[in-house]
Amino acid sequence: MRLAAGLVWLMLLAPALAWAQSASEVERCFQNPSACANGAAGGAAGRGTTAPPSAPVAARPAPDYATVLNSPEPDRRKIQESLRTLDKYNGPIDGNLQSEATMKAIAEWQKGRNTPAVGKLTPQEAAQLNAEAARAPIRRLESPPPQTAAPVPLQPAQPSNADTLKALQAKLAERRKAAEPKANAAAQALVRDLKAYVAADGKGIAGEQFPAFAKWYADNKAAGRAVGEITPVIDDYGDAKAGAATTTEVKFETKQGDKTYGQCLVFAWIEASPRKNPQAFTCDDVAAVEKWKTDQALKSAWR
Amino acid sequence: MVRIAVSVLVAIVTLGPILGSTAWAQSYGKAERRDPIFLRFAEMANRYWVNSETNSASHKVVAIPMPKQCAFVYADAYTRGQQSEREVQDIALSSCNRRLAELGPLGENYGVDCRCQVVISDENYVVPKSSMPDDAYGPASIFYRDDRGNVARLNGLVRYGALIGRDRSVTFTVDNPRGEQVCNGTMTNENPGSGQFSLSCFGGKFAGRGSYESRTGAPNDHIIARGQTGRGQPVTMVIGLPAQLAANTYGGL
Repeated sequence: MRLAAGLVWLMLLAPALAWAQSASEVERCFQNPSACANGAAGGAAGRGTTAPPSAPVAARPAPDYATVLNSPEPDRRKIQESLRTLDKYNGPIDGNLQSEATMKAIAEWQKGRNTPAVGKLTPQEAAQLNAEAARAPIRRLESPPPQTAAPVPLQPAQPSNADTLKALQAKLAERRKAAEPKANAAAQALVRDLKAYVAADGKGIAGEQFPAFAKWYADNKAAGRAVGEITPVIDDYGDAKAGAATTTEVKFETKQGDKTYGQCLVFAWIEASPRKNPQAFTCDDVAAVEKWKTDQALKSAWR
Repeated sequence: MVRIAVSVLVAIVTLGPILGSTAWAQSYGKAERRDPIFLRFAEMANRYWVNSETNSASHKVVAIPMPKQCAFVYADAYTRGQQSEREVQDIALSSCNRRLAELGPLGENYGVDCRCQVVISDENYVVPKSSMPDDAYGPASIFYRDDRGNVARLNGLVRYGALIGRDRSVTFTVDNPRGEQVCNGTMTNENPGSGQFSLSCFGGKFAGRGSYESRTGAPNDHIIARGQTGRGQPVTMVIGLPAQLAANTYGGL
């Protein structure tokens, strides 16, 4: 019985033994099984007996990923910097090329070049990546170059990535500061409506516009909980396709006897009178809030 | 007289279910102890159907990530009169979302968006039964180190019989995130929660076998299978943990 099981196992293994099992090959096949099922990788079971006894895979050596992985730390850091320059990587520059984020970034870069996205680099690929990064300043952070008929002479000094990043952060802070008064006003108006709804014991536009909030209020009331303090924190604000969009996290203090419970809802709406596309979510339903923003084509001026 | 009686009868038959159902959720039939979801999550089945404390609760709710291939965690919530059915649903949903968030992103395993959803409320399905998991599913990661020391990390999802640990032998399949079936294999139970496994991918071009063990509890119930390929290279398969968590826990081979 055991002998039979062993024979079956050997039959199963036969194709595997004939196939060069490099990690990159396995990854490639996993991502694109149809490319491996046709025997392109060699060693397919059931091949005709007249086939020559050559090993097709042996003709193509496995890619060398070990050299780059074992390269000196400055070289590995340089690769991460190049990935960052090309807007593929946003993690730490620590020389760890086997971190999830770095491998993902490498795979994304490889995908963009229509090469197998294995997440590791051969020495040639590493050189190409660094060269590509050296040619590509971060243009997306700058205003577009002026349109002139004559070629523009190269500027002697390009700003460093760190300077560009600082400039971007400053720009974001400036944009948020400009948006703050409008966002605060929108959030405060919402809080006024919520308080009015609570004061009227479940009547008012807040409940009409946000049925989920009305339901939440009714449930609390039925459970004997009274709503106390209402505190808003702006989650996001910006222009959307139908107007200015706000998403605000609102903390509610609810009381039942001598016990106090903190509860939280996220309110999302387009600023108008009445509010457009209003919706309320539980605070842990992050995915739904983000989907709402996507649906509204919100361009954030807040983050 | 007969006409009036018939009209009343028709009204009762047609309006009864509408008036009887809640405004927010439609019932899709009774949940039963032997349904696959309860076979998959035995502890929950015990609370839902057996444990006297929870079994007799006034509201009993189950939430799982959907679509069905995402259902590798669950949250169940119970109340004894203090909360409304909707509140208990919110608790189950929130608990399911929290569990998913704690385990980390699923994007490397799934091509679909996994979202928690209430599926059973007070012993009734609130989603079509056909959309419920009919087998056991979960994220799967396979780690393989070749003879040059390079490590392959293969992430996807696995589908297997719901009764690992009870059936003598269970077959499974592994799909890549694009939903293409890439590997298949078997798990043969030898002891409670452990046994032997074999794995074959890409039409047998990559294969391995070894032993597996079920691990329960934090961060999530999962199966860890360790073995070797025909060439003696180490291969590890993790079922039930998202890619990043699996890599951090077992990716070192």
